[in-house]
Amino acid sequence: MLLYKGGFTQMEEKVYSLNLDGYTLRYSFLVPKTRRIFGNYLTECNDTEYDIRLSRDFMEEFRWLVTEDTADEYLEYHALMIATARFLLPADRTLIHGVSFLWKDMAWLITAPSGSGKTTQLKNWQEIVGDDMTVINGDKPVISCRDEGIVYMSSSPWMGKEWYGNCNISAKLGGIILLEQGDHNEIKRLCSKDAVLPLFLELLSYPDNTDQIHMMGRLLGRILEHTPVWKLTNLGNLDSTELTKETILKYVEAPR
Amino acid sequence: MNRMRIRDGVVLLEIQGTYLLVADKEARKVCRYVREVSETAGFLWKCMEQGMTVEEMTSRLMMEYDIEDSSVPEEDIQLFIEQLQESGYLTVEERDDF
Repeated sequence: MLLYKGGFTQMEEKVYSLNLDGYTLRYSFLVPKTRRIFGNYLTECNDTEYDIRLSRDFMEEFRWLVTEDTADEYLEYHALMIATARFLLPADRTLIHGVSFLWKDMAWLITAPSGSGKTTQLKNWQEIVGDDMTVINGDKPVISCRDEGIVYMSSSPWMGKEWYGNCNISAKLGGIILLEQGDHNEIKRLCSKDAVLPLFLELLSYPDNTDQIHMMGRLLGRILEHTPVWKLTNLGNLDSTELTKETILKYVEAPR
Repeated sequence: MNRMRIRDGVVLLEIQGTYLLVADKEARKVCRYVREVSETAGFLWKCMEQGMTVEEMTSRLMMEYDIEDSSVPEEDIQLFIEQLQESGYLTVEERDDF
């Protein structure tokens, strides 16, 4: 059972706070070593009340996310990602599987199932635009839709194997690129309708119940209402990234 | 006579004109997490949510899509129900009140 609001720690346990897109969550860890994995994303706080603490059963439920011999602290780190993605849903936020970076004063999200070359694209972007871009998160950034209907991408401590990411960055989302490996490079704008299923599958909430499913649907609907989506079929080479860059540059510079 | 029942924990979402059947944690034990369905299938799902029989669904579908020959939609609905049953989204219960 995952414990939510109203939980209190034992005397010796500490509570840590994490800022996600301006939203502060308080964690208590089942495995003390887990705290270290979060690095400087966490701040120790004096609260005795926490928002999220996992039970052993909840943690084990997500063993499939890691390998059999993964240490408990890494299992808790990954299970906390799911718990956090669910916890944020009522606030029209969640975690999404993808790489996100800041370029031309806007955030851009490249998303696809694992092994599709997202990190390769991120490295290509770094090679092509250098210091003109900043990585927000290399694996599971926060996506949110605020009251005024503006979609944001923000930092999160779930940065993937290569630990790409920076703390406390939040920027308006300029667009989403759905990535697909292919035998040539081609980019095309998708209508929102065609982006629904692939994007839904990359939301990391893995809903526990029907309320969460409805919240995911509402959030994705709002995201797609305000965000252009392109599909990039690609070889993973620099040309494919250059093609993406030119396409979104035209979009950014187009009069609206 | 059998009665169709939508599996607990399965939700129809309509997002930007796309229809998804999404299963929660319990339902995922027997059916796929997400399945995209057509607009017509979404319409039929909503009819099933209201507990309609195949006959009632056929007549609602004919009205909605301006269809004149009832044999065609009824066959399509039966096929749709079979597919949903096979994939676990629907359960069919035997009724003993006849």
